[in-house]
Amino acid sequence: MSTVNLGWNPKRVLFGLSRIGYTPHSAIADIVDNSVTNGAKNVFIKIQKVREDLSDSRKNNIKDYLIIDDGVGMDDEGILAALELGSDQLQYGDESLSKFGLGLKSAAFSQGSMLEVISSSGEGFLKYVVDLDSIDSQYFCEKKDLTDDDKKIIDDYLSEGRGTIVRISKIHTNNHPSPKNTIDELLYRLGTIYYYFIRDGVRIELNGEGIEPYDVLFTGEAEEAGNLNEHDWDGRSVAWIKKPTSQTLDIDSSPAVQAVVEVTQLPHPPTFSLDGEGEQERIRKKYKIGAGNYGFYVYRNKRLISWAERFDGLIPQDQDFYAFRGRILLDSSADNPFNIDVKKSHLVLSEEAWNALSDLSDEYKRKSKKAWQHAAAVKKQMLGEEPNTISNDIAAILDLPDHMPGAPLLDPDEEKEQERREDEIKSKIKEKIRREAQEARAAAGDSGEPTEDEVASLGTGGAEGKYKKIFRVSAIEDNLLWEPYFDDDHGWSVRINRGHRYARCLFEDNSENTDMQVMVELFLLQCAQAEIALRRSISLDSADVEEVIRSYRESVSNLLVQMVRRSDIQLPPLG
Amino acid sequence: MIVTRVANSFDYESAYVYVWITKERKSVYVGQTSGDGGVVGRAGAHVKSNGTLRERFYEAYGEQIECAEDWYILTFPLPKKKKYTGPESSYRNAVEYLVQTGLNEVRGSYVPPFRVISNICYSDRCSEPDVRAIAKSILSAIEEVFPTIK
Repeated sequence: MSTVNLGWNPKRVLFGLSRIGYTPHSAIADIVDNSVTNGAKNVFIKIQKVREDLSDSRKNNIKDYLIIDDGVGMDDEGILAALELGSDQLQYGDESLSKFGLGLKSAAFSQGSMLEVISSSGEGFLKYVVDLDSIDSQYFCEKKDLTDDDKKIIDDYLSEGRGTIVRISKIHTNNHPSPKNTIDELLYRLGTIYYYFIRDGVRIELNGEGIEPYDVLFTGEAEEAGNLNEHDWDGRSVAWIKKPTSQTLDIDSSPAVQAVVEVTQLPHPPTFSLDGEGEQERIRKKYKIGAGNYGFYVYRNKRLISWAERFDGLIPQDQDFYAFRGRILLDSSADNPFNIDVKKSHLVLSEEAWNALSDLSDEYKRKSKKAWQHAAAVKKQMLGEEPNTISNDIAAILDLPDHMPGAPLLDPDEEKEQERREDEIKSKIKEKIRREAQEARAAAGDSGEPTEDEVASLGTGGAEGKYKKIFRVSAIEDNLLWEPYFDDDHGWSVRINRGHRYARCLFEDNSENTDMQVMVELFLLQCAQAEIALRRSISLDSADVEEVIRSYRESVSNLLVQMVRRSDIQLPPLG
Repeated sequence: MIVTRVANSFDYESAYVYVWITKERKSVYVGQTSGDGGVVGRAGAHVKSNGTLRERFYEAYGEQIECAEDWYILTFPLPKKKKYTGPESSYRNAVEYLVQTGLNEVRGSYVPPFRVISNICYSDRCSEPDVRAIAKSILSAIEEVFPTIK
């Protein structure tokens, strides 16, 4: 076998490298990577204008971009290696943010035609320059003397005689973004991209302004609020959906790709509109809640590489997920399996990793969406628009009558017997709820007696307001759809199992259909009250009636499950 | 002759969570059933031409399940309460889900590491303490028995 050396055209290759999609802020962030990797404690970014008198909003007015750091610096050999194309990857440690040895060049030439590197590892500053306008069939750099401007920068920022200055000049003038655009983006994004580094002591300054670490998950607030309970979240706090957990994403690579995954639920901005004008917008801005910001933030070696990643539909495009913020922390072992690109701003999951993340996300997504919808329902409730509120407003006057329509009138003794039977039913209900509260405690590892508040809360599903008679509760014994309920505050009422398959179809799939929900809730209240009327009826055997009606409720509940599960019928919503 | 003990995996009144394991093909499949045939009945359905285990395995490996010669089934009876044994499957699904996600969290540290190839579907019942306790005990049992499966 013989080999033939093939030529390459440096000018065209560099042109190609500069067109892989960098924006000024992503290019600068890539160069800051080198600073951080090389141990910088301080990084100064300066964006200098051609005409200082023009507004920052003016396009095509950048003179140069400067990235100055006090890292370990480089000698001749180091600078030349940095300017080489495809510098030997072996120079990069496991914790390096670099990957292909192309980042500096492609980032710099994406913004301007001239790249200057001035650096010292303690032996004096050296300067090398690559000028794209001089490159044709050969790729080379020139060693140059320091200018007065260079010396001033060194005096101002690197007085200890060590560090690196990267200057990008001869800025492209084809619709180049304004300084304001780039500064705004950098202020916002660098705090996120280098969140871990800034938090751990690295200072990054942009035109004299220090950049604060920005935790997109607001984990500090989540720690205060605890885990998300999607069934009673009011939309006002940040809560944990998943605390940081190590997950295996891919076992085919060696070693297996591990990642730390964490997810929080951010607040529900529309809820804050109840607090006054402008509050919704204030929350939206504070947490940066919007179409481009929900999903997973992927960090490689603690540096952000993918912003609000939704992994080809794994997190659907849906406003109900706006509060979903996830973070995936990877190390270099994920580079090859996940095809992390040159500008470290995108990754493609392996099929197995996608499937693993999809499985994990199933729970996170459902919790997030359900919580968002619950917060919307709470808001509606506050405004008196929520179906259960409307049902209860109607039900407030629907007490169980002492005398059922069409039934014979009772004499005083019979009335007493009816009252006795009613009291017996009330005791049974109270005892049943108390037993369930005790079982819930036991399941949680607590053998103590439940408090009166716990019992009451279990009975009504935590509903507030004495006028209520229809309670959506999380579970009912044997997973029945509904059961009658009584306590002194609410009178004869109904508990509806909101986790029952039919209830989910009604309350979740048809969440927009207020009228249908109100009608079904009222129907079940009447079913529950009719059951009590039969059980207290002196003309019937109380125990037999109780058994028959319970079996009836069980059969209805099971048939409804089977109906909802059938794939050959379509239930509402039909549109 | 092949002797397979199956009498403890069906009894016409119990519901089960079960786990199919092949170390050779590094795959684990988690399922649940309340059917009359128990885990044995489900096993038959799983290996049929359009069985879900067969389909999931084929999707993961591009081969039929017969290519693995070391399939084992672990069976975990659920409490004999109607919420677990009834036609409504949300409680069984919740245990199944928690077992699947629990295995996903540790699968990289097992020898050999494995894939969970069953479809995962979250159930709202996952946060209920008794469901979590059952799933936890199943995961502990799997952790204990996994190294002993040859």
